[in-house]
Amino acid sequence: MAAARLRTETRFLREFAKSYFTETAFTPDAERDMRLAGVSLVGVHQALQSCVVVDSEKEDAEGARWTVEGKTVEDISLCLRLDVYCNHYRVTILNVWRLSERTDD
Amino acid sequence: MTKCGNCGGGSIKKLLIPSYDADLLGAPFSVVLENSVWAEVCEKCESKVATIIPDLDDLVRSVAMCRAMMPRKLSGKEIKFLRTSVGCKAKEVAAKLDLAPEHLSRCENDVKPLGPLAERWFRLFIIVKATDRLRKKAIDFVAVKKHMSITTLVDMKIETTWDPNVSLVLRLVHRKTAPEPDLFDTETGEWEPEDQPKAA
Repeated sequence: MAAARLRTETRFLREFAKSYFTETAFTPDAERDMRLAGVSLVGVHQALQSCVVVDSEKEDAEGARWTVEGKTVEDISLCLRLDVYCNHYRVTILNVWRLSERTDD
Repeated sequence: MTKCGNCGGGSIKKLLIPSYDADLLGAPFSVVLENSVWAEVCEKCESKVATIIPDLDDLVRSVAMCRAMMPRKLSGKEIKFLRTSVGCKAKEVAAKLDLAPEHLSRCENDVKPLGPLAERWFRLFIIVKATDRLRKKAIDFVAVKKHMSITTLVDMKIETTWDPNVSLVLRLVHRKTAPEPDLFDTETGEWEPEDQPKAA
């Protein structure tokens, strides 16, 4: 798993996932990814609670696109791409990969 | 998110899904969420932008508690689902049940059945773990307690035979509760069975 290069973001996301994830939003692409990878929303949520933010891009509009890596309780390593809107307390799951299966970039 | 990413221009509207099949939870039985899940849809191109499930963490724990209180014998997949839904590793649960981790693994893979006493302890473990988390989140879980009590569990006769054509379906609804005044000004809620858990 990658080192925590973005400590503030990592801390924010972990705490957010542990304590105040009032709604879980995911795109149809994320839904397809989860089915393909055989990963459940439970696993994704667990990965977010222990995740490391490895990349962050500011969007042209509000919010930012983060790439994070985390593990499920079954030690399955996942890579997730998220849209994060801190001011709305909103995280949208865009894509999900098992870490060993990711092929792009 | 206010604009559609697919067509670039459409505004996003939220639609309440009357009945959502939550198969992505990974439960080996059917979980249907009634009037609780939202779809974000583009007003222009009408494509679905996102699905929104409220309070996923508590939903998963509520599903686990509901299944733990249903008398039908737990299958291996159900044992694994309940264990992971409360965030526990197999080693930890095996230790609590006085089982070897290998034995629990065999039970989870349906190679061996979990003994009746171990299963009862396992169900109790799941309920304690799940309610403990709900308490930590300061959620009023009166509604949950209404459906689940330790006495019910102790008196429960685990059903080892059932009609294979009758599958388990859990129907849950997310009821809004009052916002917490000293935290964020956002609505919270809790998951509870739409009705008594039943086979359908």
